[in-house]
Amino acid sequence: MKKMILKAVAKLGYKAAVDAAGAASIYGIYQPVEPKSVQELRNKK
Amino acid sequence: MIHKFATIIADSLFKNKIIPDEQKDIYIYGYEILLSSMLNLSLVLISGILLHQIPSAVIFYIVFVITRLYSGGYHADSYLKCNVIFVIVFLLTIAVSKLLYHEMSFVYLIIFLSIYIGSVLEYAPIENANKKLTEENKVKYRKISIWISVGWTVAACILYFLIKEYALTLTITLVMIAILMIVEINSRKEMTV
Repeated sequence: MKKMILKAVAKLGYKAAVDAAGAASIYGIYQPVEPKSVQELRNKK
Repeated sequence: MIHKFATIIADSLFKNKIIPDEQKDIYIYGYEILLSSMLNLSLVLISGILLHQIPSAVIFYIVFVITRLYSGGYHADSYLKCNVIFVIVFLLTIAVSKLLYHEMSFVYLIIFLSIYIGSVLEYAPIENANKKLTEENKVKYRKISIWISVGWTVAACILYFLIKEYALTLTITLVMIAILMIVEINSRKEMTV
């Protein structure tokens, strides 16, 4: 059960990062520094 | 603080062998995005509830988020400034909408929408120093921004004849987005001078 919840939380975080990779600006008025690995995800999209 | 919480969540997932170490920064980034957007949404909704303007709060948030996904614009340099400015922009949107309700004719609506469309055509997308865009993405996001602006314009025009208050909220939100785009462009010009 704990692992199931943690996997769901992980999926959510990863999805948020991938979705953010495909946008010019995400949600609010602050843009955190986008890691290179996320940029690579975007280039793969 | 948001970065700290995001790191705690990612560390916990790593310790429980859910995510590999080399992908931790992806997850930290994802949780920062999630936590800050939840905070933004909560602040706008709470403000909306306190002002008895919940539908306007919802319209503001949806329009703001969807539009800026591809147009970009002004970004604060900290989460605190981000949240303060976000709430101020929302409150200004509500205040201006209320002030203009009786004076706002369809012609004025079109004028305001033109200001927004003009900003999109002139500046979108505006990339951020923390999130560089490829040339391919710039072309793609520009096209999407233009289509989104067409969509919002049609929606505002239709809403004007159905529920004028919401048409105003939508339109003023778009004007605020345009102002934020202009502010960002001007601040960059000042920095290069």
